[in-house]
Amino acid sequence: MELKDLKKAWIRVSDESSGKQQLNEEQIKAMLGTRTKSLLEKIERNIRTGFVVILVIIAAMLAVDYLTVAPSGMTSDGNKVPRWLFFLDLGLNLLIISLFVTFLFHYWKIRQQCKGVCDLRHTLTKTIGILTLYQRIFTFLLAIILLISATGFAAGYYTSIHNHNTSEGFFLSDLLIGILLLILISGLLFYLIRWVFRRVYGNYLRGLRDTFAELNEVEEGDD
Amino acid sequence: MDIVGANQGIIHKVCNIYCDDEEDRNDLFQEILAQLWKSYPSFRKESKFTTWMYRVALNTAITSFKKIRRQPGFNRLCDQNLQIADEMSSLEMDENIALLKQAVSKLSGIEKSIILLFLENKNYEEIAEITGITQNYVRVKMNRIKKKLKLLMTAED
Repeated sequence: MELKDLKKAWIRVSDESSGKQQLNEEQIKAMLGTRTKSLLEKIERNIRTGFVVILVIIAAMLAVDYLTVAPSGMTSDGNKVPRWLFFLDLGLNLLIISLFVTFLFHYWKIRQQCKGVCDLRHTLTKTIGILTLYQRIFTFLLAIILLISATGFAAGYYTSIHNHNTSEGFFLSDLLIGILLLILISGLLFYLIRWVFRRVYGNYLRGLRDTFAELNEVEEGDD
Repeated sequence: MDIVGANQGIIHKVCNIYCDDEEDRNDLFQEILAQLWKSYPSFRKESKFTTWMYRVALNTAITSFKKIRRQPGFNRLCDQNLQIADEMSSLEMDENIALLKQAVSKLSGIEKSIILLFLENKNYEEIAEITGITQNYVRVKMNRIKKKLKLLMTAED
């Protein structure tokens, strides 16, 4: 059977089939009412929620620092808090905020590439772009959180040694164990979260990239 | 709502070609419907409504997350694919149509969209407008798909 004959048969079959599946207005409304969010809508929601949560945490931490520790400049055990610790804290918080601002800027730029209903190429570019950006911010944020833990550990250890004048032997063994634990926990956490992300979005992103490559291969073909 | 309802056959056809089981079809139908609903204010009437609808439906089907999560990769043939046990079977499709559907199921996401539009009697100009690739390359791609389908159908035969 030639393709043109198949075409006729296809139209008959698919028309009959879709005719059977017709929904009335009420059913369509009900479907719209119960729909779940699309992937990009979920990503947008996650970003908004994440941004608000991080801002609240940063604000709370700053409030605690400046309202309780900063006025006296002393820790709970009566030792002086080094000034560089405040700057370190502030720097890391600014790093998180600037990461989000950068992300929002790039996100907005990707969204601006094509408004409304785009063709397939632009839809793919937009979806791949947003997902890649989401993956990057996720990794950066994770790296910053691990950096915060590391600096927190280092700062705490330094001030403890500085204020209590401990012996060198105690200092070295504790420091080594602390560093090893930190590396282990950070590494595990980093790979675990990255693995989860890849498991959830990895195949999807790969599929989109393959489709995009296929689209380009068509455009670059020379048959 | 009326205009979408009147043309819902387009959504069903897209769902039927991209999804293998009832649940996936319903999910995709719902997703396409939602996209149409959301995007309708941006429809500028520069193209025919059905062209716009095909564009939204195919974009949604190709970039659908749920479907890909269940079927990693776009080219994978689902085991239950186009089993003649669903609504289609009651139509007593002739053997060639069943073979065609079986072969179509092995095509990639883009190939499926092009062959669907071709089978729906769309000309190259319309296919290019919907998919966003040039007419020349729709032609190139179409030739490749025809060859591929012939091969697949012969192999299935």
